[in-house]
Amino acid sequence: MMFTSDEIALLVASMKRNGVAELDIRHDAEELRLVSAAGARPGPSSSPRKAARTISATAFGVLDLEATGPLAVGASIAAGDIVATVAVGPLRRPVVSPVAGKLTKILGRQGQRVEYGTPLFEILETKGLS
Amino acid sequence: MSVNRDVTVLQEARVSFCGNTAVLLDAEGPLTLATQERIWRLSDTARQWEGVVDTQPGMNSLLVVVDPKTADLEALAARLGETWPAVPSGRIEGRLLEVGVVYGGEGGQDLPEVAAFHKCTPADVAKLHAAPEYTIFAPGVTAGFGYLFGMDPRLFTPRRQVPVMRALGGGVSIAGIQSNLGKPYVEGSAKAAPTGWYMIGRAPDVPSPFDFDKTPPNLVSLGDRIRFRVDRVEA
Amino acid sequence: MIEILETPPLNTMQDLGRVGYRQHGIGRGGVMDRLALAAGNALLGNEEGEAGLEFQLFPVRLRFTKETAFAVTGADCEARLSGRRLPAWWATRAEAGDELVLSSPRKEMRAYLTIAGGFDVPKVLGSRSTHARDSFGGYHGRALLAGDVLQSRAPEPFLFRDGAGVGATPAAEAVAAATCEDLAEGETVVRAIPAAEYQTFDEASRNALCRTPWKVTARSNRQGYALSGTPLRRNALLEMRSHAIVPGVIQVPPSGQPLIQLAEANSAGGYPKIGVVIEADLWRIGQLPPGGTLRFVWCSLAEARAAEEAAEAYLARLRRLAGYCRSAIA
Repeated sequence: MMFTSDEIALLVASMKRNGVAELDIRHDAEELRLVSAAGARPGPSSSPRKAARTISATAFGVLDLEATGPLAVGASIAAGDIVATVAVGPLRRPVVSPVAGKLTKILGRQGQRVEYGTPLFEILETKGLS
Repeated sequence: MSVNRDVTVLQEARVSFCGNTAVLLDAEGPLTLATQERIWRLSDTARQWEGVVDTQPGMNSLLVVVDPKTADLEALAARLGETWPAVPSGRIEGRLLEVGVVYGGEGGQDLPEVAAFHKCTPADVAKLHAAPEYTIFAPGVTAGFGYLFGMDPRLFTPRRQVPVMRALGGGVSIAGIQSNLGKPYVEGSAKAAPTGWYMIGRAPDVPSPFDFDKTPPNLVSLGDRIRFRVDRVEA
Repeated sequence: MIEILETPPLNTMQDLGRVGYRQHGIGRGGVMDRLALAAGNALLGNEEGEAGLEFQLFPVRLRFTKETAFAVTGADCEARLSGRRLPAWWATRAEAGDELVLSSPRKEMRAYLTIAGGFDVPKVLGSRSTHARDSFGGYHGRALLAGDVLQSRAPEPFLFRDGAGVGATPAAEAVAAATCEDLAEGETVVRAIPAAEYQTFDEASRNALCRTPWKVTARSNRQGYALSGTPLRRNALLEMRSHAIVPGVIQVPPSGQPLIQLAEANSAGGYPKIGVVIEADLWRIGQLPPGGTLRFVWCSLAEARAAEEAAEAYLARLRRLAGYCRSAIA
């Protein structure tokens, strides 16, 4: 069985996220070698001092904004909360808020196909609680 | 008591699908020991067939279970239908288990009602019931002594239309043309259950038909025989 | 280790059931939703049929007494891990002391807790399923109680590549259900194959099974579901001999109101059977609560096989993708 384009995209995103430059996979009879220019992590972690932060997708796939119940602007979010999921085929990966705060904008749409780095939420960081 | 005593009797054996996980063979003709012995043989044979994961005899029938991911049910049904007529007959003499029974009294409280139905005494019912040897014909609804065959047809007693609550554990009961022996009470399980059967006695020393501490765990097998001994008839 | 802090009755440990003991009258048993159990195991890298806890009554509270990778799949019971809400069909890691709370699902019926490595209870007759009626298998042969402590077997250590874990698309979204005419919102459609006594039902009844909706009554549990709708009638009322039955069989007692025998069905029965629901759709019934509406459609063996393959393809792909989202710890 060949790897599907979705699966390769998943792997590349995972490499970027983990700062992996090369990946060799042997799975059953399959073999796959990927080489990536390991990019910087997106959005949140690059601007730690700003109060308003953007939470971006860390995976490629279909966005589910209601994975942990419907979210509305003004909602309180704790650091580490799963605020959405991104689906690749039957697999879902988390979108996690790195900080505590109040949701100020929902940038993503339910069911949207997102890429690695697509901005999804804006959150106003609550000082001292994260 | 209104009851329809007619049971479907097939002229020819029939094979049907049970969804996509099993095939059922219904044998031709009436329920007899000779046919049932062939069912047991076919059960043992079919369990060895490739793709078959389990088999279970019923009264005059055999269920053959497969893994639906890999099974070719049409081929299995054909094979079952072709194999059945060629299954040899012949006696399968199982072991004999004798079970002492207190007829009537507590746990056998339906004995007077059964006696009244048959216009005889409770002692007559006990004597008629304990006279024959019963053969374990097919597994029951759960691990136990199974469906017993051999009751004197004069004891035919239509099943209750409305079930009643009766104690579980070592009960001897009858309904229709069948008799049943309950396994001993298991600590922690339900003490009573609704049933349409008549409790005519209890077997205080009945052994456990299935004991996980023993190898094999089953005390009895298909074809084994049970003889009930009248220890006492209580009013 | 997992300590049960609170549970209603009737929640048990189950796997895919026991196969090979029917000559003793022991039926299959096992989970009501095999896809949910298998998906949880796929997320954790367990064998497909590793045992899990089947929760059908809520709320359930439990505490992890050591770090444990676990998954909650099946009905969305708004799982909270030490207060933090988890998505449905989700696997993540609990720290020692974390508390997991499962609430009553709004729709659907049964949720499954699986853990990496599986639960450390002995197999009885080849299975860890609880046989409630005969009190064997699972956790001491009985339903879970507050205070029970369940040990895990040591898993191959791994980390989730995403610290928050990984999830599965629920089977109801990922695996297409059959459809039927005039299907109403919220009705569950399952496919069935005609059974031995199908022809003995009158024509109106044969048609009615697939043309009319069936209400799941309150007399529905792991053993079977009692349905209510237009009564089904036979051409002749003949007694049936006791015969072995399978989960999914649609029996019609004299009342004409069908019963579907399910996971914990007796191994034998005596009612005529109009059809048998295919294996690949049984989990859909297992997630249908009392008050829900069931629809039947007839299908061929070929369609049943295709349905089985679709479910298998979903699980195979999930297993593969989830494998990329875990990394082994050397």
